[in-house]
Amino acid sequence: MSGAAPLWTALLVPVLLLAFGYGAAAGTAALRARAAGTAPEAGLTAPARESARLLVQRRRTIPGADTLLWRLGGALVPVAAVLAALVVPLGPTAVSDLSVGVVWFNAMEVLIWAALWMLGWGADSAWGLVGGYRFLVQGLSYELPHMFALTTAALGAGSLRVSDVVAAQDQVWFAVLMPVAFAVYLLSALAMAFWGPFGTPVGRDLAGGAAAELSGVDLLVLRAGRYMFLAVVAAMAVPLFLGGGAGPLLPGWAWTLAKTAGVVALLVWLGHRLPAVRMDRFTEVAWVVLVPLTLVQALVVAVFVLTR
Amino acid sequence: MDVTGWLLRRAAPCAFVVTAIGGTGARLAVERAVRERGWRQALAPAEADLLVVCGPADSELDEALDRVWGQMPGPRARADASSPERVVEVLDRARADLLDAAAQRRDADERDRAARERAEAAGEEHMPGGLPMADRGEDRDGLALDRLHLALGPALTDWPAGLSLRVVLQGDVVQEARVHLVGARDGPSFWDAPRDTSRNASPETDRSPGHPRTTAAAALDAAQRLLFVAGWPAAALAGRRLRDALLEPGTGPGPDAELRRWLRGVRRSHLLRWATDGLGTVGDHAPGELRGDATDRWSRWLEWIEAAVEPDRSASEPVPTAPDTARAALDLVPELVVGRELAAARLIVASLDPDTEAVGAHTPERGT
Repeated sequence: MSGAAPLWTALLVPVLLLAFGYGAAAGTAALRARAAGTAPEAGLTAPARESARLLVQRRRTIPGADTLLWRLGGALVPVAAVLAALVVPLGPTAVSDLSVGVVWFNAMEVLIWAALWMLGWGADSAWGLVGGYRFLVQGLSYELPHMFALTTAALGAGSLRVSDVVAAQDQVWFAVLMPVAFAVYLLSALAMAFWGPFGTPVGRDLAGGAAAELSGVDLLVLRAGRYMFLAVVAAMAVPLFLGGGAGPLLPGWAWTLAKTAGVVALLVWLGHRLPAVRMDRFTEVAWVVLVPLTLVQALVVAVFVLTR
Repeated sequence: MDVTGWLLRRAAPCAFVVTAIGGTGARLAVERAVRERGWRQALAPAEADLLVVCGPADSELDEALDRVWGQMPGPRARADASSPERVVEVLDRARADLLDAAAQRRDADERDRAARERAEAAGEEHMPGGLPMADRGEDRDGLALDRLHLALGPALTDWPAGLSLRVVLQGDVVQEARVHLVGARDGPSFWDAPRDTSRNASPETDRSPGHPRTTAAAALDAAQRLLFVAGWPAAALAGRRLRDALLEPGTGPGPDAELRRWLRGVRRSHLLRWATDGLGTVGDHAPGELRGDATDRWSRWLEWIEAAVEPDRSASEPVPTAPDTARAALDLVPELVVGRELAAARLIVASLDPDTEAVGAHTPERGT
């Protein structure tokens, strides 16, 4: 059930993430086009057309900007997505099946904190700074419940190795066994990709927030990175909660891809249906409601594991 | 092979739209054209390649526009939509300007040369980038934090035309706020101005001021702005589409069924209520349309919109009466936004939605 793939498969990771990311962007654009009363099919090519525009657009230099941190911040987002994806198994094999795979995933995804803060701070712009602040508050809100959700999945398997977590779902998927942890994971997936209802760090009311001063290829890298990140968090939900590559008829890798596509579609639909969550209000909910809920979920799973 | 030209031709333009006081009609036409062509609207000048100015020229607004123009990275083009009738034409011309790769390269070289000359002239600098540092002051928790001076508007998306809210920020909390109108002028609000009613207006095609459909379109316009600020682009875009359909003269049955569905969706959103509840609460001294919190105000808009599609149900509230309400809304802005985070401040302004065209040359004096 486990195994590390040959090294060249690491090259496949960004390609798959980009493909899923493009799907998410195109799906969003198609839903928007329908809302705007134009042909939804135009949405399918919209991300490509926007990429073409950004490739031609010039990069900006800003007086007083901390250029190194600013450029690094944007570039870190796709890099973090690819690094996090190294432990996500496609069917039975991942690029690297670390003994602490869950922790690795968590560590890579926290890089986003640094990325967005550097992006907001580096641009020497009030909009960027406020966007950076917002993401820090967002991080403080979602990260604890998110980590408890990850812990609960690892607890259910008695291992931090991702392939062990998949193997432990032989009988019943963790999404069924620990629904609260799964729901919290999906919520924090939106939050850490700063997307949809949690998109306020780069929000419209901040004129783009942390991304307000970006143009051209820098903006393209950030946007693509964000969708790749959304894809990788969706992909990780499959081994953690949805039984990995398990399924009838089709081979494991096909099931993994199909389930990932399903989670991405769910996230895109949620992002379309929901208005933004105001972070100063969400923080209270996260700490007063979600943290205790995920803790109780962990306790229930712990008792279940002990008595099994 | 000319890769740049090939990419340029495939790119959908991204327009940064600035509205001057008196430019509401042009803005509606621009928003409609941009939506129907599948173009995007930019959040900030940095990502835009098209600067679209709606409404009459004004010297103070021109200063802000020059800064916006300077922040656009290029390739870039400018479209001055002074009247709704000319919108299609100026957008087409701006698109052609964008595709003219040779002219765009000349513009880029020119800017690079100017930037080099400026850098040489500046010589030795003591401050980073030659900019002054932020000064510090005590914030509400007694911490010494940087005080950032920021002008919200007039060049800001989903923002009342010509409004400039000069704020002092510490962190993302507004400490001081002052209202200023850029390009204030006497003249009727777009929503009160008499429309062309030469073709014998029947109840279905009448779009004159005071008609339920005009009131509903005005309310929809305010609602789409609030929804964009509240981070719900899907509902906001649908609101724009329905607004344009309501303003279309004589479209037969109109978008009533869809409007009802849209109303239901917005009304049922707990998340939206949660975001706006308790924001910018106004007491009974204010005009009726402004009373209550932000949620009360947008709920009232929804009622006016509903009155247009349910003629039997007369609106329980009075329809907006322009100048006094707009003035009261403007005067309320500073005291309501001070002490709030930027996100809340923007929602408060969007929920008051002062019609800056209705106040005339009135210049608000008060500030906190």
